[in-house]
Amino acid sequence: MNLELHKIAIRKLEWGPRTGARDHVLTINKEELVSLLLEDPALRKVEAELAHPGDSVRILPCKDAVEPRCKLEGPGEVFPGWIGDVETVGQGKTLVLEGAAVLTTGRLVAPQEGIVDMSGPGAEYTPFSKTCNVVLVFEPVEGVELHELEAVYRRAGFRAAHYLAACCKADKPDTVESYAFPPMTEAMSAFPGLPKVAYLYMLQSQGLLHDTWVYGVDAKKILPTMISPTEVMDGAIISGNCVSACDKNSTYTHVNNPVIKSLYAHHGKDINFVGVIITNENVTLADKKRSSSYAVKLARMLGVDGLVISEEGFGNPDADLIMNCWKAERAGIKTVLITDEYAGRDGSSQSLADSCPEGNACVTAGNANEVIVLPPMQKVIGEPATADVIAGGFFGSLREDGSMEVELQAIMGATSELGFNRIGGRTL
Amino acid sequence: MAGRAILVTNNPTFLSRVPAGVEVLVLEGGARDALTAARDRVHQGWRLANHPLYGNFRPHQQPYRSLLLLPPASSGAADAESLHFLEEALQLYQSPVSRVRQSLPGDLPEAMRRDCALLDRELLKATLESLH
Amino acid sequence: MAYRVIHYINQFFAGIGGEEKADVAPEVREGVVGPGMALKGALGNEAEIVATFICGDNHFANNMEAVSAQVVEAARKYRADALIAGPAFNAGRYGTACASVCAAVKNALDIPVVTALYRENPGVDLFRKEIPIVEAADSARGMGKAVPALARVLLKQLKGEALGAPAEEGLLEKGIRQNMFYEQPGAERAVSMLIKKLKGEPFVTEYAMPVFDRVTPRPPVADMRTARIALVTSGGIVPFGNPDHIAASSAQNFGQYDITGVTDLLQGKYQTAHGGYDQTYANQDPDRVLPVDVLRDLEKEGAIGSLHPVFYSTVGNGTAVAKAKSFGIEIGKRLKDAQVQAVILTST
Repeated sequence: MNLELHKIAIRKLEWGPRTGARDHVLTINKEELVSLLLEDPALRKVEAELAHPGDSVRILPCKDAVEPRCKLEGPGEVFPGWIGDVETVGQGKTLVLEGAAVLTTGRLVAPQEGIVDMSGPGAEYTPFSKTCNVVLVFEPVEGVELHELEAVYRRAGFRAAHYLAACCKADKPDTVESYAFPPMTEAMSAFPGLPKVAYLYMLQSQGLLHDTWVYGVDAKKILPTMISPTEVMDGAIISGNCVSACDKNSTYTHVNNPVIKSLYAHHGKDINFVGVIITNENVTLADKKRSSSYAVKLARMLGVDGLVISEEGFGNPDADLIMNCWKAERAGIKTVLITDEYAGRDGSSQSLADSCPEGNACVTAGNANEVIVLPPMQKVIGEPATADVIAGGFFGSLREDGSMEVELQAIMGATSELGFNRIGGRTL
Repeated sequence: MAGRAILVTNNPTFLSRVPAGVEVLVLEGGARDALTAARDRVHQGWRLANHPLYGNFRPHQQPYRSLLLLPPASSGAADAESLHFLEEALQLYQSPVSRVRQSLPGDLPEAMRRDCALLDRELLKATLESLH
Repeated sequence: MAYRVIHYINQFFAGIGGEEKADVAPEVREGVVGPGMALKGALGNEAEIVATFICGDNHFANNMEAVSAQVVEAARKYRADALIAGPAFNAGRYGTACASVCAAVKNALDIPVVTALYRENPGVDLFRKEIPIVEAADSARGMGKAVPALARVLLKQLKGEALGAPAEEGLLEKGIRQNMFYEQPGAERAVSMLIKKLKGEPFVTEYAMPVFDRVTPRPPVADMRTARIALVTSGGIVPFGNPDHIAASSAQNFGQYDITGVTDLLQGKYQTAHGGYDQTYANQDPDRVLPVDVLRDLEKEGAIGSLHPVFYSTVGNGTAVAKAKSFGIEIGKRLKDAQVQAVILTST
């Protein structure tokens, strides 16, 4: 499978009469975008706002972030199962508006966080302070049930992202990147002498507001399976995970999965990157045993020497991470784990809810309990009611001067366990 | 499987939605009380069906915990894995140095309590369905 | 002008005497005493040891708060800018004393402090989060290495320089997790780490998982009415006079004691050898730690088959894990040979 990513670099957004990209500026016809989204009868109102790096803007609660992408050539369409058909993706050409993101926000349940600050100290921690954002604020009609509402918001984000990219199909890309994913027979015999490495990609799958979808299939219902990294780039895996802003993998970080990026960068030099295995993180203990054993079995069938294993979330998924680790290590496969930590505000508590002696190689995306003070911003996009929740001590506290004291947990993507950021932890 | 499974929970909204084939034991108190009651049953041979730290919530973000327990196997020995997960979870809830207090159902405003109870039920759904 | 430093040492390093002098009361001498000479050399012109506080190890153990307050007072009186305690290597009571006075002075006066201890010294776990502790060898043979590190860490603090990573500074880890920004994103760090791991090259994990000795629970005793039950304690209960000289902390041995015909552990017949906790209640009624009386009752009622006529005892206070493990293996073997079915383990 071969995929070309045709990337248009976006450095600025503006409203205008016709949606399209020119000189790194993405012009958007707001009415067209909003009316497209309002086609969904479950949405009563959609507001669209722009937020740029450096703006005195706070967005909350941010549900998902989506990078504008669409297919230029090849079977299927991006976000299969949500935009268009469930046809297999990952081949041909895909257009990417790099530097732009669609951020979705709207009320789902009471305890919600997900802060994106476009400037100030909080901006250091979220990947989405560096993107030019189209922020969509949703209001549903009365009586939409919670499962459906989550899906409505999710789909609206994909539709907006797809719309923005599709309007730029005629515009010339700034760069073209090629990604090859050869058939197994070729992959196995390529680069003799280099260790074979696969990626074990753990997907949040605990239930409502904690779900991930693969080609439209609920990840809690899959057996671990193989996926081409190019399918991931086309949005075969999307996020329905709305809880724990710091370490939920947004759809944006799925399509830009940095582990896949790094494995490609080392492919043919230090390693032979032979595959991606996806697995889940179910609540049921029997599922954990089945999935971890099955995922490791797939790795053994591939005959890999090493696995990078990335987690999503904390607590329950720590158990899956640990099972994946020791089962792989005992099968003779060397592992490196990517996780984040809940070591308490002072960093003195135990970081993970589980451990095993085989887990001797860990990369951490930082302690999510570290406290940060976010100064007031001139503009807040989203639902002000959420501020009450923050004030209520769920995710931090609101100070008299309007600043907020929060843990990194409240900040979107702050401790991404895909290893998106440079943040990490160390022991003093 | 001999005997019925028991759902040990401090989430009273399970009472009006008793899953088929499951006995529901609703406890007063906080998540820690539910975890402790489940732990005690594991020492009597019951086996845990769900991970006790389900949901991306910290002790102060979700006051409810529900633990589905399967009837003891004939050997009657305590299941080491069930015990391990419950003890790890209890450590989190008992930690005297835990910086942020755990919340009890009564601490929350009504709307929040309702949402927390709903999410608690939702996250147990797959495990309850797995019984059939 | 040179920084003024006060130095804390015990009776042994002050040249007063060993265990037989461990009860000596505190005294303050002006200038350097004992290892202070070596420190003086290492500190050079930048800092000067103006006074040395000397205290017997047992005296400190029995009067922790009072002596700590006296050290604070001495530091005030000598207008000290900093405190050095030790090095205490693997000496349990001395190490705990060094670490506690450092913490007390830091809390009361907010001035730089430092001590040097062996990794397994019980003072480490008690105070590692609060104070910088230079990693020292397990005996005074490590003096030559510990002293320059102590001086360096202290001077850095006095000059207001931030301390680097524990490994760079020669410090023991505090065990506190802190966020930092690395050069590379986490994903790239993970792939690089895996490449090293695959090549067999050394790599450094960013988070060291705690490793626990997991013990698989045994099935319940089928019939307690016929079972032979033994008592084993790390609470230090021994016949009065502590015939095997089990140390109050950092125990080097365990004892095996016959209780044939003993139905109650009476005050004056048994005692605890354990330091580090108030012994009053244990000595008043040693059954509170080792419940021989209750087990004799259960034996009489027929609830248990019999109480094994021998009990084993050691002291858990600061005893090295490796030592405790070897005691456990030996005690387990003897119990097995004696066909004991179950053991009740008590601590303090």
